[in-house]
Amino acid sequence: MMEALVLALLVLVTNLASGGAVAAFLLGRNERLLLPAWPLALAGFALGPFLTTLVLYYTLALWHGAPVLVAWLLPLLFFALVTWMAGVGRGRLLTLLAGLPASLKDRSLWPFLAGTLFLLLVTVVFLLNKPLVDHDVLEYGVQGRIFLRDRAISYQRFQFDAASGFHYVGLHGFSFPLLFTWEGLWGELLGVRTDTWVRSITMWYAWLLIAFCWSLLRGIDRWAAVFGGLALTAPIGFLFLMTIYHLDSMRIMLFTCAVAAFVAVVQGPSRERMLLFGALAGAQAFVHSVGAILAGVLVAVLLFALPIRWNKRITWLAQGVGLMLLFGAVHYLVDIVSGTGWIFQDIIWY
Amino acid sequence: MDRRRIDLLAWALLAASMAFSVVYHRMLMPVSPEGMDPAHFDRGIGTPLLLGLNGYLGVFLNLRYMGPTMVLALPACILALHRWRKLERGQRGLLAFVLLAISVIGAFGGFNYRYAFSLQPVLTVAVVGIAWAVLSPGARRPFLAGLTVATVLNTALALEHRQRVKQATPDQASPDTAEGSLEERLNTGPRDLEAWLKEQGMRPTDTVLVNNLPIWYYVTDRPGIYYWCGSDQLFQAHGKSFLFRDRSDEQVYRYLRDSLHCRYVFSTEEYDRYAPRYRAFLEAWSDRVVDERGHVLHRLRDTLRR
Repeated sequence: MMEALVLALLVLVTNLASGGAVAAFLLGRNERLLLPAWPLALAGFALGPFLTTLVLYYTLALWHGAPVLVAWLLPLLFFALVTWMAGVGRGRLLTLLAGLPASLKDRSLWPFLAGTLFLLLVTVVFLLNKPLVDHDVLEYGVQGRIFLRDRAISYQRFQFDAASGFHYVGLHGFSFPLLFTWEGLWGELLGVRTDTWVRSITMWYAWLLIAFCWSLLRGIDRWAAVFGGLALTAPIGFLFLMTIYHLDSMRIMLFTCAVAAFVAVVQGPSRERMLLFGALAGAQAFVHSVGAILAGVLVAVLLFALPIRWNKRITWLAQGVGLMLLFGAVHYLVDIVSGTGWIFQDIIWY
Repeated sequence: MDRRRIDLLAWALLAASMAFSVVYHRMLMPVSPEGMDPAHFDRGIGTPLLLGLNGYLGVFLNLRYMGPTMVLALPACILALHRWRKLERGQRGLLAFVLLAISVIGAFGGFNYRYAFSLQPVLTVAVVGIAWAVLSPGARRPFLAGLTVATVLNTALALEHRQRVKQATPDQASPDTAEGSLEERLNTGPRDLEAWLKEQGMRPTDTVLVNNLPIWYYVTDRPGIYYWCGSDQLFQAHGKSFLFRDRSDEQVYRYLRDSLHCRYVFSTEEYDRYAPRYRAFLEAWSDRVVDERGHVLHRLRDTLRR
């Protein structure tokens, strides 16, 4: 019962309220971004759980042994600030959401609605029947609980937990393990040990990814969205993406948003679009090393593809890269300088 | 090129991708790891041809996980490269990024299909967008419907291949091919690890060699020595070291018993297959206690004088 309560609270607070706050923040800046509203809002929702882990990361990295209450409260205060800063975006988000029931009269949205209900059913079935049993996600879970126990993030040449003998083999940013830490903080306050919400996050990001691609394709044609959505979700790889508890749906959703922002900034360069790109590229990098490498590729291409004068190009790109680092890519710099060495160490394939 | 020719070309490419899907699943993909590294078989890269298809070109051609949309992305990229000068800025930027990203992912050799899968949503949107832009208005929806049907057929072929793998290699575990109730297929971990360990007479302070099973640390508060038999590496406070390299079996046994004070090894039957020497050592120097879900506790002989 308490597990269900924690799940409900976290979905409400982190998926919906925090994600909604970022969506409103972005919509509030859409006079300058000039991007389609739905994809922008969905990117905002994707940043909700991510930014929770980012605030936790800085808290635990800079304040070792931070009290549970402080570590729990800081992300909530951060999102309160984001909500306040969203300004007119709050109204725009509400208008967007209020238009949903009417738009469902469009028959081309029914497959999406049916797919959503199906995914919801799959989520319930999996949450009830499948605990964490797969290797990688358990590694992230153990590391996340070590962060929770120590309430500290530190960098070592060899990531080893002396108390348990566990070695964290992962070379990726700490965003996904910190989701376990976040749920653990709620669990500590409510007196329950659970991972139901983290398990559900796989399906949440998979749904956001489908919705994001669907909304992009609807910009072309509503039936292109229907067929494109089916072609996207029918391969086995995507079925695994939706159902195997892992960080993949989170990293691929954020990566896809980053690529969309990249295209937007090349097509219509502006400082705001560059900053959005930097934030999303940093976010997907902080989830997985492959994202960090691909973020470097995106920046390298931008350096040559941006159709603006070189001095402005360098200035904007520097700002975008700065935000990328702030949004988690800094992890890899720290890890290279004072941690495992990241990409410069021998990688063991599992 | 006029639109009718483009329509025909698109349908021909779709038909070719479906024919390739049939050849891929029915002829190219092996159903048992005979003659190849089991890890490479699992990952579909057990021969040079498969390494090329599922590895280096895995973004486009790994049809075990991708669909025909990704196959169509390959000629779309080639065509776009050919028409580079006529592309819009955003299209050029995206193409340059996709080609570089594919090179980076391909350079890893496609060891992990999940990396190649990163580009699947981006390429799906791109292929649908390109199809919409280049096809004649009357051909757009039928073609995209055909693409959807082709994707579903490819998935059916991939599932059927997984069934044949299961028949040829019964110890290959996967929830979609395993037998039993839904709960049994999805929950492959030990039912109650802590209770099971107590049943075997293990004390909370007993030292255990944990063969790459993080579930040990996740569900118990017991200490473990982390190890991976696939690379023969021990992970200890001072870093990585080898267990078997430069040691005879007896030396390994003495090292475990006298230096690491290790009485047990926790592993799975599936993992044990990755390292024949490690497996042979366990058979010779330990007794097995098997959990019904493939998890194995090995008790080193003589350490408890039992």
